[in-house]
Amino acid sequence: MLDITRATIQRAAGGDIGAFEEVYKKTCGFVYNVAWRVTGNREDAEEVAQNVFVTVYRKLAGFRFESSLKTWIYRITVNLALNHVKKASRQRALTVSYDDALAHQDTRLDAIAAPAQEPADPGRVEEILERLNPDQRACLVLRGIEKMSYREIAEVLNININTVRSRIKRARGTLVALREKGAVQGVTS
Amino acid sequence: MNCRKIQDLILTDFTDNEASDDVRRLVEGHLAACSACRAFQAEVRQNAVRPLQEAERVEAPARLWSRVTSEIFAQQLKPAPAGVLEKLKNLVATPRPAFAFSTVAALVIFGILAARLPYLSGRAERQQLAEAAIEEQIDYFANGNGGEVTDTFKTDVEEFFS
Repeated sequence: MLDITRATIQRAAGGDIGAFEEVYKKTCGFVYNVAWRVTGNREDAEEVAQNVFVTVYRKLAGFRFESSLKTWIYRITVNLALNHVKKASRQRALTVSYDDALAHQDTRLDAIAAPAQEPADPGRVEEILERLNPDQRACLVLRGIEKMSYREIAEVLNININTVRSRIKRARGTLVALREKGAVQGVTS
Repeated sequence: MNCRKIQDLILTDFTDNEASDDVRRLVEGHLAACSACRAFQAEVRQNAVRPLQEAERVEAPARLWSRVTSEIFAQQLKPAPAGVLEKLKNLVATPRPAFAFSTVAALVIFGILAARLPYLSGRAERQQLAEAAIEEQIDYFANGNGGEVTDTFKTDVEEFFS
């Protein structure tokens, strides 16, 4: 629970910047972290988080209390982060040459093929998430880092619960397969 | 349940505590007897679950609030009034594909009908005239115009019988 009263939300919706700051303080942590994990870097995360709060401020009057405020803000965050990633990806596709992409691919594969008993580290999470498509990445972030249930993820992403299950299965399956492929390459090279 | 189905559950519901008690017992029973699936479970935990569970969480940078308020004041934003007007405005400003397509289709059909209307009404009129002409011809040939000859060709035969 966010512990934000309905009165605070209504005052913020009416343009009270002090009330809005209270909403911001209670939510900026998860907004920034989700934006960071979905976009993959902190600069983009900051830009996405800024857009999230500007959007929340602008749309708060339309919030109907049908879902929790937290779910609503999560939804805005994930949508804006995914849009940001997809837009950046389209731009990159227009500028990166095939050779550059191939070299990048090899580097990423080496990074993922870390020894099996190595403890998880923050850098490796970024490498792992980068290997997934944005929709799978969002599901895995909400499940693995934000500890949401499948039902909550379905509500945030506005998709069927079986789609959530399917994306998580594919995402984890991809990570396991990449690890196996990386280990084989490590032995042969 | 075969290994493939068990591994699907390991990738999802079993690992995420979303499985029912019955399914959980089923998977646990299988894992106790199947070393390949135990190895798969360890792989999944190590490479696809633990890194995210142990991922670092960071504080939002302090400047973020300044950026947000600067943007709000720069755009002189006010919370948008919600309601029917807002929804209508959004609908008109950014028509959804289905709405846009049906609007265009309706306009095209209306245009075609409007263009063909004079032709269609003229056609009905011409049809009536043609039917009247045919009826006149039928009467003429059937009745010999009432047995009465109104025109003469001034021939000798006509002169003789007149």
